Amino acid sequence: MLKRLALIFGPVIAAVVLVLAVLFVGPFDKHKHNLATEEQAAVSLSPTVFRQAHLKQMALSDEDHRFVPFFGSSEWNRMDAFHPAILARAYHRDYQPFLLGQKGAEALTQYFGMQQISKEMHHKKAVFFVSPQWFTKADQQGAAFQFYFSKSQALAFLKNQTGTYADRYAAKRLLKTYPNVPYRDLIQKVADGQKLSTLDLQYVKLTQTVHDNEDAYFSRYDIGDNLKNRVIPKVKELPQPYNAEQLDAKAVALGESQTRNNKFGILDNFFTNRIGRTFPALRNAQAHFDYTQSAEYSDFQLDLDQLAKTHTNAIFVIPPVNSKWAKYTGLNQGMYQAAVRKIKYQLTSQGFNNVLDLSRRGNEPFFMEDTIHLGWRGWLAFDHGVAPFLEHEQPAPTYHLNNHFISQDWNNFDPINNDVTTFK
Amino acid sequence: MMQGLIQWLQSLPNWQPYGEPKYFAFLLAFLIPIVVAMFFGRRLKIYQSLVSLGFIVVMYTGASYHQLFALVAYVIWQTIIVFAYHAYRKKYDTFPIFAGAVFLAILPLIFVKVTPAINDGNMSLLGFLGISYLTFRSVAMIMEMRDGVLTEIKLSTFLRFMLFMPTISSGPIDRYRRFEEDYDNVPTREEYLDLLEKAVWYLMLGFFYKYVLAYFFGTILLAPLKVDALAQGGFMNWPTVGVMYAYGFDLFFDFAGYSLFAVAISYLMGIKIPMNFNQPFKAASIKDFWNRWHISLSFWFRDFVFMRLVFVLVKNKIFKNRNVTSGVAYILNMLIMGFWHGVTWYYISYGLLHGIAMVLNDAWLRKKKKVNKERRLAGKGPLPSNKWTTALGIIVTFQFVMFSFLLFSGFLNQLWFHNIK
Repeated sequence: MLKRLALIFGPVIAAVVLVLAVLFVGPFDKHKHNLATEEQAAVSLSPTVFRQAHLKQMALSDEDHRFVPFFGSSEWNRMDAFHPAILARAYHRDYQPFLLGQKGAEALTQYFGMQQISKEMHHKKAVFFVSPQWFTKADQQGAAFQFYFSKSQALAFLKNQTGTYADRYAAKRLLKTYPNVPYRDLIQKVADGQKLSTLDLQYVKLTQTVHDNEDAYFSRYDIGDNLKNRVIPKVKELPQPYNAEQLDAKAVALGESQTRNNKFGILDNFFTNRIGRTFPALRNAQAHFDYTQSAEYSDFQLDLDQLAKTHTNAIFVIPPVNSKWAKYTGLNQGMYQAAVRKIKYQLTSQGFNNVLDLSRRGNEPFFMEDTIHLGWRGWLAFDHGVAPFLEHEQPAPTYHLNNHFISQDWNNFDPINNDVTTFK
Repeated sequence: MMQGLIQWLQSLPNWQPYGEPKYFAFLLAFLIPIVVAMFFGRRLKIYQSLVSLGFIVVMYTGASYHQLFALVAYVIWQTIIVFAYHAYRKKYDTFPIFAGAVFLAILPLIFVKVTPAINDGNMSLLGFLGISYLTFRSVAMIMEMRDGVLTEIKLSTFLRFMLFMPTISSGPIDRYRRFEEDYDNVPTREEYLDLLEKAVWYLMLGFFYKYVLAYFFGTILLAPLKVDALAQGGFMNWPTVGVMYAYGFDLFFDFAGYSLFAVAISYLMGIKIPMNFNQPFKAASIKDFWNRWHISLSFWFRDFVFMRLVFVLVKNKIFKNRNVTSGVAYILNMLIMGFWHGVTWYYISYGLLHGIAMVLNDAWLRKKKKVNKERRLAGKGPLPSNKWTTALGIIVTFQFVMFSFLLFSGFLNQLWFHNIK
């Protein structure tokens, strides 16, 4: 009888043990660094890389090859020859950008992404490309946030949080932007200011182990072919050795040849395919745009809080908009500059002093690739500011955070009619 | 109070039967006491009912909480009809009352099936996951009562039969008498060990079918083929042929996988629910196919639709020729099955196609018999019947079945009439 039972259930028990081993042990190479994979992941811009933790952790913890997180959004996908990833590769910089940002990603997405790599960011440098377009009056689109959000981010947040004011606010924002978020109950606890029980934390740890292993098994299969198709071929186009004047001339030449079908200096392809027939309707269509008051300011403060927590020395880049295009669409440049003042005040008043403000340079020829994204000479200007910051030793920053930047007061503060420095 | 109940139901997680690994982990954990008790020759009736009820409730929680109310209302409705007819049938036996009872039993299903067709694709509020399969069970009971083979029914067994958790959402379709006998008797230890052994095998095979093969055919293969087919458009194209095979295999492995789970869980409870599939793609003819594909459904239709149609047609002498009679019955039978799938042109033409195929299959069998008889009289051997003819039969049947599944999938509807490019 016992033998019969053993014959029936023995294989099942063996199978269960094997499955659990696969889930809890993970792939054998999960702690190994693989430069080829890291390099591909760094420029892949695939949603998997952006959402999951494994490849980011692998690259950013590589001690033999320096990857620097570049936080941002859709601009990283403007891969012309002067894109930071291509320049870094062509001129053998001692760093390579790890591009973290995609269309529709905003400060809250970056905040939860940073949770996954808080250990790897410790006392390191980072680049943060902050677009005033994030700071719209209407709240962040739930769909984009949900698309880039992952269980791995939720678990990392639950593990890292200590119940601070910022943690509680982040949990509330998460529940609001993603009502059916995974681990809703635990996140609700954080939002309510309750401490997670030991059992909760053990559950988080256990689930995280399984998710990390799954991530380590599968993420490597979705790293695309940007490196092969969009980076390496362009590296070969650049003049050697590095020569700023030759590069600028090349940028002008390329820009000229690719912006022939419109008077705005916009890439021909973009003008034909993305603007196309909507062109007449876009005249004055942006006159009412307002980036000066937005819940995004508090979300942005979450990012700053996280950077301070990990003692990350970050440089912030603020882009312009294409001036000619802005004139056509009626975007108010005064409003735009007021939003830039507000962002810069939030940064510098708390000790984030490395700011590369390009916001007034949208009228320079071949600076913008399309309506709001840097291209050609814009990328070169970016590189002039960012490369020295990354290549040279920098004094350690001292941050003094002000929680009042997480408030309706600050979200609704009007920088057009008020002096931003009066906000305390 | 009602409001509170609704909120509570909405707040519960929604677990579809056999939907994810976690479901199995919880279900099997709850089944352990049942299995141990069964091993020692006892059935934990109350515990089993409570566990079943719990897993039924979480099928309809969350956003679909209204289905739970529909289910409760439906079960009350069926209970009244079945028991009222039972009481009536003890004393009388008239056709109009019988037909009325069957009609009333089917009425909710008719509403649910017709509503989307006449109301812009919106689902009826009476609907819930599994309504068809519950209807098959109660209608069969009414018919067997009329036949006089089902004379005694018990309310508690009736409810357990109707709401038998492992098979509630999509079958296999059991029969009351068979269920009652299993339920009232505990298998011997030897029998139960056989059941356990089969249950383990079916669960593992089900995992392979549903989570490996159906995923491969349905998600990895089918989705890009559909995109290609729609992009090419037109009346017919090569990717659509690919859609045909990928969908056919996906349908089989998904449904057969589900059925294996349902049978395995039933076995663990000591209920020998009938099997639903028997290697259908090995069928050498279309008649053979329907003895192998969704068996519990096709046998239900055979017993409660086809046989009765033949009986009525013969009794009233509608057709002189009995081959015409059976042909008409085949077509009506399959048409009704088509309508049951849904009131759309593609389900109905799927039914019609299979009906015609059955008629042709029968005609070929008669022809073969006749030819063989003539050959015998002429002193010749019968028509060849060997592994080659069987192989030919399998190939032809398989192609026909796959084509009918393409129709069934509704993809042609999308390709021909709703292809927005």
